[in-house]
Amino acid sequence: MSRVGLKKRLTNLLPYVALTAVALVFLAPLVWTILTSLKSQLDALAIPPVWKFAPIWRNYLDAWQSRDFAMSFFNTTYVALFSIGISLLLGIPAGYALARFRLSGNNTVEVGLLVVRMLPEMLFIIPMYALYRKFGLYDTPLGLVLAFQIFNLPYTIWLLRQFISEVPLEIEEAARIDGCSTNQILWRVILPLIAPGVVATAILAFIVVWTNLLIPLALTYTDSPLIATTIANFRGYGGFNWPVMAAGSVIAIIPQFIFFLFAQKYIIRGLTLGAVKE
Amino acid sequence: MPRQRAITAYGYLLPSIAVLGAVVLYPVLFGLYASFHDWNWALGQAEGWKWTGLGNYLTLLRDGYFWHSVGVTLYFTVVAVAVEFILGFAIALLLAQDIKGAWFFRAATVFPLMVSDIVAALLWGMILNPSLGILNYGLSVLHLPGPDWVGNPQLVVPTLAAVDAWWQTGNIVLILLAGLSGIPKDRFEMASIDGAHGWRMLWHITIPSLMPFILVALVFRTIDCLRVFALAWGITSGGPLRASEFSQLFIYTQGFGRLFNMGYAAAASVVFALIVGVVVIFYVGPMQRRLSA
Repeated sequence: MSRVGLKKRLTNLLPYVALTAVALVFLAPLVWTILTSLKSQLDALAIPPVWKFAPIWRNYLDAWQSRDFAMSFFNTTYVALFSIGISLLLGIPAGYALARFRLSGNNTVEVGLLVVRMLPEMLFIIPMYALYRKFGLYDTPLGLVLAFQIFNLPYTIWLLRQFISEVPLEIEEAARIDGCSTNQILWRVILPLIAPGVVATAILAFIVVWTNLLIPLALTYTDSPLIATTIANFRGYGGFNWPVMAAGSVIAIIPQFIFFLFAQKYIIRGLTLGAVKE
Repeated sequence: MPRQRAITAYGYLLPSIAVLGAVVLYPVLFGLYASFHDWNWALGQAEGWKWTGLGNYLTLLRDGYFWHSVGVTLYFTVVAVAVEFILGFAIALLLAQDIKGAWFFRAATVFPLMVSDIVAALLWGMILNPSLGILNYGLSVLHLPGPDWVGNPQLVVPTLAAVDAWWQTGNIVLILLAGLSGIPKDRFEMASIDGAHGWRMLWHITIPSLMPFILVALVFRTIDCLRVFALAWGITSGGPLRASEFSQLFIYTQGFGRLFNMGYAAAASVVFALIVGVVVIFYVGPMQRRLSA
């Protein structure tokens, strides 16, 4: 082979080498966590690491049964479903109003929604802690369902506004000529058309509830725990019980992972409030 | 607009505005009011507070630990956003080429996004452990010294920024890939005919075409990095010697996290929000043009 040809082939290979290195670095922590989750406590702490071991699936059962884990898992699901339900019920009409009506103050509402997304959480979490203690909402599912509206309602309105504004106006006008009221147009005509967007929004909002740490850290204790703080507690009590902590982490990742797969197409929109579409 | 339509529209908006008023505006205003009071629950003031005017703010101005936390937060943000952006940009450019198995590489970089911040903190807490972690073992195999990544005050912030880069670089990759796929191919071809290649192509064609996407990626990463909490709370609890005490962690510790000095914590959260606000305002003009497009 000529030297030029060789050089060219090496240049072509370079991106693959770089990307493989990157992929290894990005995936290694997760692979390592899964390996750790299947080891005995002794093996998990061994240096040099043990590579050959009989997988101990019991760690997953131990994680599931330890303290509040199962309860948190279901409580988080329950809180997520209710809070998303409320966000959608309020967010669909609000998104429609923002997308289709030129209102005075529309712009204010939109900027306001954006600002809420960008505020440091402590600004409302510190007073919320005090207020929740006072009003008896502390450590209750109802309190959490309400608190998650802080993140999910603006998020839902913002995303749905985008989906609705992508529906051609002609469809709406045709429905109006057929004698549909605005309510009917929204719920019977627009909603079915944006159904995939609504599902994606719901999934992204679910992930918010599933992953948020500050709200449960501030507003829950033992009666209504959420998965994020329960996972965090694995550090304290178990000390160096890394396998069970790793197993708990893997269990916590699974629902997120599944939902992400479903909402893949919309992840960028979710991350950027629709500023970027794929 | 006919009056009837306007009424319908406001009717649609009103419930959301009411709920957001109750869960966002009310707590924020209450916090603002509380910040003008001596309200230290640890001193038995949970039930009654004492007006102190600007007292908390004046104390805050002189509180070296608070300003230290602001400095640490800015340091973290600059390092993390720079690393994430350069790495993410490079990965996106590579993935935009005709690469076999691009889906796999894309999935690998995006995968950490699916992990929550607290789980990321737990994973890395194990990996970075100086004596029992896999990272320092790997280094020892290569005969390299394994530092105490999160136990060394000099190293802890860059280390946490690196963890953040692991966690969120995929975010930037996704945004920039979406941008790259939108650039018409003939723009590159034209430039290529004009003799632009490599770096010149990148500088004169790719980056200007990507500008809106670059902006969006930078805005979101900057603001999320300024608000960093879980990585430090989960891995270092702000240590060692407050070296990783980010502002939100400082406020948390002053507030319900440990000291229950609620009025002071509220004041600190207001000042920090203003600091973040300055950054947001810096970006808001270009952002709005993007978002309303």
